[in-house]
Amino acid sequence: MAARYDRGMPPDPAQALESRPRRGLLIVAEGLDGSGKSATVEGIGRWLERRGRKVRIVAWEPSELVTRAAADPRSRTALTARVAALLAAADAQHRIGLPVARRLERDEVVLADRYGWTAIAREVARGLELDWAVNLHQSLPVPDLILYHRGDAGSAIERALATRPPSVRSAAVGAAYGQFVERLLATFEALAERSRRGAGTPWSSPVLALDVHADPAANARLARDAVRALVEPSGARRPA
Amino acid sequence: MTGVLIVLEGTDRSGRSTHARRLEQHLRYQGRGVTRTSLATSLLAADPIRAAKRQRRMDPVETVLLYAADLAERIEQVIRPSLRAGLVVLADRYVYTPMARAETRGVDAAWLERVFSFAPPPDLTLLLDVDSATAVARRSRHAPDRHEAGMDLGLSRDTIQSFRLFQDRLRDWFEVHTERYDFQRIDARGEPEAVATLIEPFVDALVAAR
Repeated sequence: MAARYDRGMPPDPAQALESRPRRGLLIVAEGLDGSGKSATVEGIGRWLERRGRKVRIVAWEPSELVTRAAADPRSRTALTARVAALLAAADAQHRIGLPVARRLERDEVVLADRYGWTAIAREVARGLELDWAVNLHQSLPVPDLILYHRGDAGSAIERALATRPPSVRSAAVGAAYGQFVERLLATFEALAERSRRGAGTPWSSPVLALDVHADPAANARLARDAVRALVEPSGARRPA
Repeated sequence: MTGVLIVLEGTDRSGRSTHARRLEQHLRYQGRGVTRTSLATSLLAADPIRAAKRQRRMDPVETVLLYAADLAERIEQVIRPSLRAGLVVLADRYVYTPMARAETRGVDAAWLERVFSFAPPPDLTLLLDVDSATAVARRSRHAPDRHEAGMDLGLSRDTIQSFRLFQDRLRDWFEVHTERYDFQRIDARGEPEAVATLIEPFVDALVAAR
């Protein structure tokens, strides 16, 4: 199956609008490197703009606090997984959480190219507990839809290393990088499973899983249909 | 020999730092090795905390996460190694002050507890309790800063009045959570010498048992 709603069908549009009288929409794309998140986000953005919606795309950039600490030899020993996760979460609240919340209050559509799932997956891959990492990001604005780009680790590693020299590729695939990607994937899958069970991920947002090996046009249609269900009142659907 | 983690908590101007210093001296006279640590002194989070205060960025979630990062670093780099070495660790504030400040600003209590769940429970938490009138009187030498006065909460335009109201809220938080977190309440309104005689028996009993 190319795609499905992990927590049932998309919410009834009228009901969805009723439950969100206050705000715009937050739609996030998650998945491994090279899984097509950016293409999905850009496609949805263009589609929404054609329908007159004001759209803002945000990217989940690496934390400046953590990057700075990692670059400083004196700081490096203090930068453990837990400290890095907390610094990055504080930074994300400042750079992403608060600006996104303000845009949602202004009824804008925010599309996030990576969001809390990526942060959680990275933290768990570095050895932290899943429940703790999930809780850490609960305070971010709640997505209305999570588009999970589901793929396998092998393809992701190949794509990520495609431009590197063969020596780097073989060493990296055989060692730490490959294991890291495997752990990221395991956490993404654990989050999707939590969503199926109705457990927090950390939110109860609907999750649409897109098979990265499926036809990109078919995935784009599925993603668009899910977004349409959120933005257009029942009975007012227009052809794609 | 196993180490001991003793935490001093309380509102601003309750005498935490004074009594942490006194306790360090008291324990050293007994031949115990002591490590003292206090809020916002970590290598990685102290500067971002200062910068956020300077820029008057007071988002309670961002702030409490920075304080959590600060504590996480000190637990990993200072507190756990000191406990493993059998030292007495005196922590001038721990998870409770950041939790109280954040919850007072509307952050969910259960979320805060889970964020700070990485912190080992203290062996003893001394809650130095003073009323806000006493705290304000002690404050007369130095005007409270915006952060201590909780000016972001809009309780009052007057800094002293805001300080009083904010510290009252924090004091209420400590009182409500005394049983849950096993605070040992100390009436800290008196002179330091008098308050020390209330604190030291708890510390001596704990340290003697280790």
